[in-house]
Amino acid sequence: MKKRSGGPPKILEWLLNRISPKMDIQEKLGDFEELYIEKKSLYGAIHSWLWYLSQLTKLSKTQLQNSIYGGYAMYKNYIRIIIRNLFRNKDFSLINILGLAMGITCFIFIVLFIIDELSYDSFHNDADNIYRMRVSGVLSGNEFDMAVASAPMAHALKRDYPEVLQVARIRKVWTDRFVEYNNNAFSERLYYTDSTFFKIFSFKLLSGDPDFALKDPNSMVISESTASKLFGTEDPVGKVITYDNETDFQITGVIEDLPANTHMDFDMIGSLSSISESREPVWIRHNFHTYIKLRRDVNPDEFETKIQEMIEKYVGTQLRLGMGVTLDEFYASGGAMQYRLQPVRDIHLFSDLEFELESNGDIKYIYIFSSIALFLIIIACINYMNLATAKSAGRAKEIGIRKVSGSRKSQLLGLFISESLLLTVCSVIISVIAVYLLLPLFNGLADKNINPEDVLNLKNGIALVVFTIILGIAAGGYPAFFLASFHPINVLSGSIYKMRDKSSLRNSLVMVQFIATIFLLIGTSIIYNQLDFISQRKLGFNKEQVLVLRKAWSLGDKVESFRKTISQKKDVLNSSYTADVPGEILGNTAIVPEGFPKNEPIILWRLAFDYDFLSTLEIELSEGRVFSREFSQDTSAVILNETAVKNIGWEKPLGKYLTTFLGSDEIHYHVIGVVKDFHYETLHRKIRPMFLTINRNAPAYMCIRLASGNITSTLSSIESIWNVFAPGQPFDYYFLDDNYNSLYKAEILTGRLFSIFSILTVLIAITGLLGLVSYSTDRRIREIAVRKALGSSISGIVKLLTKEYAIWILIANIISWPSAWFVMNFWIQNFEYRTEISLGPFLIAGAGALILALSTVSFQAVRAASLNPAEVLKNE
Amino acid sequence: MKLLSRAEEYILLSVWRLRDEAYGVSILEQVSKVTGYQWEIGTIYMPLEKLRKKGYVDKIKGEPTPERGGRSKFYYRLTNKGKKALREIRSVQENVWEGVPNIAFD
Repeated sequence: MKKRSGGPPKILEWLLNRISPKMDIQEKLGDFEELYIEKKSLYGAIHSWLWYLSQLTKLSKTQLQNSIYGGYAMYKNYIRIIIRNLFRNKDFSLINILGLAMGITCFIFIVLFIIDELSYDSFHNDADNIYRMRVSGVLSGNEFDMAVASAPMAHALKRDYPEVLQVARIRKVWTDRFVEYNNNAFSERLYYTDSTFFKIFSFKLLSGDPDFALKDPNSMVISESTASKLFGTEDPVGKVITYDNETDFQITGVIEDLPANTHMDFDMIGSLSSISESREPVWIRHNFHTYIKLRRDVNPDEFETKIQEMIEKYVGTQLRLGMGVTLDEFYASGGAMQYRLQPVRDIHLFSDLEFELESNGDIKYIYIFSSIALFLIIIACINYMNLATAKSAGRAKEIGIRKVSGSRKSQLLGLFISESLLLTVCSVIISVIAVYLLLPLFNGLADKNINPEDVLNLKNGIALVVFTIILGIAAGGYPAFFLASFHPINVLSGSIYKMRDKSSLRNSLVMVQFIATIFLLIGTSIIYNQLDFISQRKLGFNKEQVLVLRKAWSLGDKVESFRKTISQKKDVLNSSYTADVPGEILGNTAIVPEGFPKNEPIILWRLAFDYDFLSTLEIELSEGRVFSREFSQDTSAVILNETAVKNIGWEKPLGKYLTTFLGSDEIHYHVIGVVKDFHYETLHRKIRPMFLTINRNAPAYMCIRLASGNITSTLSSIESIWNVFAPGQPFDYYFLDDNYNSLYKAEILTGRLFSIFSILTVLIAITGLLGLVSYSTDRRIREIAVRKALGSSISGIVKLLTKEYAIWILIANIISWPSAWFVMNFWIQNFEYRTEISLGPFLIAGAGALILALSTVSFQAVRAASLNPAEVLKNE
Repeated sequence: MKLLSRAEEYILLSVWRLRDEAYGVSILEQVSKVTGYQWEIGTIYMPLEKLRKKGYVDKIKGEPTPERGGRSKFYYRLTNKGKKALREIRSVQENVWEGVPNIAFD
């Protein structure tokens, strides 16, 4: 129709056209134009333009209200259809919901784990500005990288640099000691800290003044649970307790029990002013964990560069005085030293230094677990997509009828997406219930302490709702488009059944599932291979059947008579005191070997014990002799390990001597023997050069080798002897192999999680495959019948049906092998001593996946092939 | 039978009053005149459509007119069913208002 001038602008008419139902459009266009022209002549163009627009909004508003009312019936119908569909295909819905729920449950657990790991030390005020000092470098060819700094460093930082707002030091007492009050004694973990501790860390004091609690010497702040152990309901503040049988401390405050998500680990804090070591101006001995809080506007990298000058200023002079070397000579001989900052929030996941306060987590595991979580969710989604599209043929008629009776594509999309949303919501509800039920199990398994209340806090709840919606749309999106784009003519004429099924997408989705499955199977078996390697590896000593008593010093001067008494028991094969036990942290000393210049010391790790230690632990000698009571000069003798001999470069070590320095005194040790290398530390670390001496201090431990047999009765008889020799002192023991195994806690945990996840992926993948195969054999049921009628054997048909899947699984193998090799190789680099990654796990996982898949497929294929062709074809 | 809503009642009465001249714009003007405030064209189509669906009015396509850009007017005419509905709403109204003297609002 020709457009007259003076009418409403085209854009507005176009809008009107868009918003109103097609059939009434002429009427509205006419009415609107009539009024528009009237308004225009009265008030002008702009007014009438705005008027038109406002009418459009009013019109669309009334229409929207109307359509919601009318749409209600439609949605009611949708929901009814969805529920009917769920119930009609009960098994499919169940597989779908449970598969999805399994995936989501694991996903939630992994996310909880990751959130917890990432939350470490983030609760401190200004956590982003708190740093720990880290000292790294090279000394005599040995690299060091320590979490501890020297005693005067903290004070110097605060004094010399205005960037530093606050400093605090921690002196960890590495072995637990006893605290006693009213004859009530407990072994507790103690840190000595500066009085500024609470100015940096936001641990909550329940009573006491945070500014003054740690000011005076011999004051102590204890944790809530220690307080209730020692004092019951009494008010602890002001009470005096005895620490380690000798020092009295006054309780000046009670602190809330430490949250699990901090890298610290203590029950009590003593004031650092109580120990003289804190005041020693020694820059070359590192014993203090030093924390600083920087001003907000300070760039930590620039600050780090700036503080290197401290090395020259302070360390240089002491090197010259103490060791007779200048800093330049030190650098020239290959030495290096660097002060570095470490953000406190990164300590848990990124720090694995020497002398950590507690063993930390590892960001690698965060990466590994996040990818597994993603895997699981993708696999579960794929399952849903596969099963939903596989079922599409059954619903084609419904879709055809709906389309013919006027359903728009967008409405059908809505229908299918709401269906998948409903399923997702069901699965999420099931998973949340499962998470609550399994939380204690998970906490035990993952060594976490996640509260049930924290699982669904506001943030997680919102995230979960968003996640559910995204998941529902992601899983339902493809099937929805697939189903909604059926052409009604094809569907209703039945020709959709004759169309070649475009199943390549579904098959490749199954392939993705199997890639993940094979990957996890390979990962699991490599982890277990390595754990097996660890437990099989000859450590160089025998860790089985060794009982270790802690706090052997509580026997006082009765140690030797205690040892003699228990040695008379027939189940006690051997026993020895020692300052160090394998699996614990070792100290090191700078030593100058005979024939080396005095200014070129080497670092040796020191192990001090008593005469019978080597025989008790069955550590083998490679040359020379062990310590003996018959040689009185053996107190100044030393035994080296093979690595130490190799590092020093001695051909004939026996009879040579080593020199250490204690202040200005020189102490000589002569070498009487060499032991074969043994794994004092974990297999993550290379064996270090060690020197073994007779312990001259009160022994920390006692190792007792027991005969195999009735351990419990032996244990109780040893305990009763202990109670005679050390009345009132707790009998605190562990078995060496348990403690040693705990060094591999992270790996054992990963192994467990991997095996659980691989079982789950196998389950999910198999159910998905089952659904897919049952669909595709259903579609080919007539073809199979015809083949059979023409003389095909059952095995021939089964072969035909399974061949295709075998190819997909083989391709999945080809893809997942290299990626699994890559990732697991990365993981196994954690270990200095590791098993070779062999072909075995790959072959087993690949073959396993193939067998599982093919037996699933054949199960369906045999069923289809054994149907009577006459039954199938009678309707044709 | 469901009673007419207020808007439907006004519009239906306007259609009756306008006889053969009842189309969108005239209905709008009539309703605005009797109620005393300005109705909007955008809001009268839904009630009209509902009345049509209930069978109270017929919708008849008229001749194209030049002032409408050459588009047809669509006339509405009251049906017998519509008359019955009006009668009914009137008696309901009278029942509701019965015995309420004007003085009660002074």
